[in-house]
Amino acid sequence: SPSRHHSRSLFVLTCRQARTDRKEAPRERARRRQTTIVMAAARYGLRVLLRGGALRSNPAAGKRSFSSSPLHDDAHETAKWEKITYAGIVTCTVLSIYNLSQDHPHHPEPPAYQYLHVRNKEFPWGPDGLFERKHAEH
Amino acid sequence: MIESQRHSYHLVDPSPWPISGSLGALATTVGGVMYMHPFQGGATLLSLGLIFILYTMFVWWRDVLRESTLEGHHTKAVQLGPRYGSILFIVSEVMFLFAFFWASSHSSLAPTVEIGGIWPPKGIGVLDPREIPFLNTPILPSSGAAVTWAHHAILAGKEKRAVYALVATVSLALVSTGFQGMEYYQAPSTISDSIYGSTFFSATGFHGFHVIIGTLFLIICGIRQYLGHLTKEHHVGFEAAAWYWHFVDVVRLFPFVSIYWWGGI
Repeated sequence: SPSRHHSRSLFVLTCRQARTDRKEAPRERARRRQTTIVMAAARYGLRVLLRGGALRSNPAAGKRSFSSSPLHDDAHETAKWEKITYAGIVTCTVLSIYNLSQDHPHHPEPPAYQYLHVRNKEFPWGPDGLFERKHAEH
Repeated sequence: MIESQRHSYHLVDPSPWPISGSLGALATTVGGVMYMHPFQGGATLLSLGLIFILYTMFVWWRDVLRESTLEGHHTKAVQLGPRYGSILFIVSEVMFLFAFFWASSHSSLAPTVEIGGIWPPKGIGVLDPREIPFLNTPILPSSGAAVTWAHHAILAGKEKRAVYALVATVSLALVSTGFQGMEYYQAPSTISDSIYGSTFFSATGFHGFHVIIGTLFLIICGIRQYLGHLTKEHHVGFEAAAWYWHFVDVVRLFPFVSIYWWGGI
């Protein structure tokens, strides 16, 4: 029957593989095994990343496995990151108020060194850069 | 459609958008070159090309959203494609920005005699890193925290909360861009002031440009969350935006430390 034929050919293949394995030098075999382990680790890492970071997937439930753990509950995580965001907003607001209340320093116009205000040819829109009006104003 | 097929792959329908996008890119490139050299009609061709590209982006992504939401073509197997694509795209973006930090370090670690043998070059006024640059640095990570909040809210099924979190993310992003604009306005040098100006404005400018792209990406995610496109199990577009946003907020630390702080004192 076709299934018996299939298992027979598989058996033959396995024997052949075993024979070539024996012929290999031990160091060569160890190196090959190492490569296989590294490849497997890389593939596993990529798969975890592609699954969206959850370490164990649960295809039956169709959601992340850590949702089931009470410590890393998504509702709990949502509340935690909401608080972190508010802390960030408060920090940034305080920093902004402090920063904007200070007056910014004025820089003296430097001598016309040849590497400053470089012009090799005219811009398509005219003589000055689009954001460079400060040279005339300051 | 789904009932009749025995596999989980999406066989796409013929679409006019690849060729229309290509024609738009061709018109933009040729028009851009014509505009920068004194050819007549360069500005017109450039504008037409850009409009064509923007139109293609809109209708192509509209089609993808319809295939995903209304037609249900984005199975788990199909979702792998955009995931691989987003990761590879972000990796290429890291390499792109790396080149600009390389250029800055190359020019500043051993300053040439032409700029006075010092860094910043003689006569270049630099921004105080303790002012707006320092203020702008924690804003992006805070926005990154807000996008994580949005992600957990989506996973927990808190739809309204997720919209609020995305509004917070986008608001922080806009504040950051606003401060960056203010910083550029007050900056004592311009992009045409020596190698300092060239490296400073190309590195920080490209980073700012990526912040704007990420902001648009997150605005689209916010709208889609509001419209109910994203579910607990299926929100690949949001995940890609969140990865991209974390890339942008982490990358901000490099110009702050190496260009503003180390390179500005």
